[in-house]
Amino acid sequence: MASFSQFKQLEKLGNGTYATVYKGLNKTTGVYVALKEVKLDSEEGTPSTAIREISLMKELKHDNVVRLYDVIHTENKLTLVFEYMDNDLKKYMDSRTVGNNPQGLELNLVKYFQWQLMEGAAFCHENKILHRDLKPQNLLINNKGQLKLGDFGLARAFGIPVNTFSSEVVTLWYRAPDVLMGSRTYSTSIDMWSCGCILAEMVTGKPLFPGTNDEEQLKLIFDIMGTPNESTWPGVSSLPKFNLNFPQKLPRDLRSILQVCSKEPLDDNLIDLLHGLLQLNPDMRLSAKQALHHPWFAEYYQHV
Amino acid sequence: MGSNNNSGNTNIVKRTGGENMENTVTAANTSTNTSTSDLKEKSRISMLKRSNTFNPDNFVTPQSQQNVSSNVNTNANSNTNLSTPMVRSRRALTEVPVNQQKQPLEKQHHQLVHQQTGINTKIRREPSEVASLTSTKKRSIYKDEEEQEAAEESKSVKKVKSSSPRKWRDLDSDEKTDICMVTEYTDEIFDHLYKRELETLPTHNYLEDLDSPYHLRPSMRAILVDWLVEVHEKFQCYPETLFLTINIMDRFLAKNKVTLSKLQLLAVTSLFIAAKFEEVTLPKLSDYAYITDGAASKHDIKSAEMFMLTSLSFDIAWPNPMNFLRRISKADSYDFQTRSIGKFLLEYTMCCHKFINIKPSVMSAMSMFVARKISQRNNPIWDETFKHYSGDIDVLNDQSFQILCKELINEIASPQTRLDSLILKFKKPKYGAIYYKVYDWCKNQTENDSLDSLFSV
Repeated sequence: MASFSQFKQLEKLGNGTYATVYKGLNKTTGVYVALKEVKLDSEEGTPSTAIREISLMKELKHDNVVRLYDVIHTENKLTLVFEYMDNDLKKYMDSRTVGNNPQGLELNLVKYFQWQLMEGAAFCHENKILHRDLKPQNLLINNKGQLKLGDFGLARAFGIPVNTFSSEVVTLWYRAPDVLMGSRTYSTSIDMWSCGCILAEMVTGKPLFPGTNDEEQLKLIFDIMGTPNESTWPGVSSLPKFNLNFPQKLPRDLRSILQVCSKEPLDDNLIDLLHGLLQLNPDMRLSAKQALHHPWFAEYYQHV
Repeated sequence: MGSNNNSGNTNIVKRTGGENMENTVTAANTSTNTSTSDLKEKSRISMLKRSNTFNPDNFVTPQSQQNVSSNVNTNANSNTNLSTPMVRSRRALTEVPVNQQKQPLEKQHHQLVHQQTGINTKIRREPSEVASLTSTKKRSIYKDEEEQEAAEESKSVKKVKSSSPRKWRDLDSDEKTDICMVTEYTDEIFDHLYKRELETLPTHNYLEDLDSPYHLRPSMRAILVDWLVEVHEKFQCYPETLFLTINIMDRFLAKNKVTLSKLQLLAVTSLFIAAKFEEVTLPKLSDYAYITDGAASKHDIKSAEMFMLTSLSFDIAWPNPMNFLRRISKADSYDFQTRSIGKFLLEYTMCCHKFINIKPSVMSAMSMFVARKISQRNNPIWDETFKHYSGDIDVLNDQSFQILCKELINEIASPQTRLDSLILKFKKPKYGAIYYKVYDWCKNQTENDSLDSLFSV
């Protein structure tokens, strides 16, 4: 049984959604860990985020999900002991910026990361868990090129049929249009939109839809993907925040938008996958399981 | 809000645990202040002891007191004054002053105890136990163990399954267009749930096992769950939350002895934890404290919360029987009336003392089978499709399942423990006044001694 004294606390790695994360060293095994400290002096007792993160992550054991090793309770804090990862995708992409120019990743690496992201997302969904906060900061990577989903602070279990949930989830830039328009009956598709945004961001090195508020976020999405209407997305007009006065835009060519920022030629399969993930209508959006069978990943699944 | 600014994105969404973000900023400084905060902590603890409020060390009863508690309850069934409503509406929680006439469960029970036996139930802890409990102050709650073998095993199971021929109708494919049904993942999800429900079952029925060190009178649990049904309804939570609350409470009681005076604290804290897992908008901690009418303070509930989470190793994710009920209802063409009856029966089964260590999928199947009988949907009684969508329950040939159904029917016809609030709830038009119909049917079946014929074609 681990106790807190077994770990040596090293430098601070960052602030998570509701906690501070430090690098730690397991003194008996010599293995590095990430120590996530949750303060327990809140007015409402143990944060619901911590209860959900711990109880859900305990069940998730997969190569593409960060492993929760241990939880230690001391006087007024909880320490979650996670598998240590060298970096996160956000910091990694930032480190490659040349001057003020963000650089996309090599397409081979993009494909390998996206494949692992799809594997991790599919595993969560098979275990009836929605992550609800997928973004480059929450995708942890290591020097072996492995990518793992981390920070399940906003995650929750869903039932079947899925209950209505809060629409105030997912960091704005990665939030799906149906959720932005106030839909509360979202499902696994909410995570898939984020995966599409992440794919585009890996290609170009910069966020695809960097809005500053809900309205601007929708505007940026419609500028590129086109403004939805009842014929392209049946039911869209009954969403709470649907507005008939949305500026009417036609879909633009994704390839030409992305190609400008990429040094390598973008192949059809990549663009097709991206289109599948960035479907405005959540019913039409690709699932993680479907994405894993997409031709762009042919080289991976043929080996299996 | 908005502490994640290193990304340049200031639009971080609102989070429920938001208060903590400010705390995390100062976390780095706290280590230098330990000496003063230690002192504060100590004085806080000594204050607690004086005021005799909750602390984890007296949450659990030493076993030597156990005979007292079982004596005490001999006549708890005849206890009528407990049926008075103890809960006010959520609006009233903030407006109405505490009504002294309505006493917390604990006081009511104490009165009862004194009238009946005159035994003082005050608890004194055995020294050896004190030592063992204080040593858990710094404790490891969850330790991940290598489960590679288990993973390998489940992989091989998957392969075998896909090769067997199918005798049931595939109803999932009809729902492919409905995203809420997540049809793409239903097989994986239910495989996972059937496996998981075995891991999250209370270890034994602590109510029926008289030799168990954790034995509790069935009538005591009935008082607790019935009170929870009432609070849960006033708080307007999801049905899933009530069921998870009962599961949390049962799992805790199956491995901890709780003093009578702390049972209501246990119940309200179970609801507090379950709501945090299931609900979108959470009742305030002060609402929970208020609803107990002084039996549990905010501080009591907070300390009990951590004690319980630790005892359950944070295993809160649990296969809620509502998932299974809806899945079986699919094979029943989602018949509304049958499902309404099924929901009542499921709630009754969850609250009833007889089925504590029965799997949620079995409870849901019992409820749907009996519900179909009540609404006279006899064609088919139970076929391969029902079998598939209930998690392989073969009703017509499964003797132990049939016994459980008969027990449920008997319990509703002539209850051994009182569940007044639950019954009152399902007499309301809001729930289709379904209770009357179910009760009449159960009564009829037991009086005509026709229970065995339910399972023959």
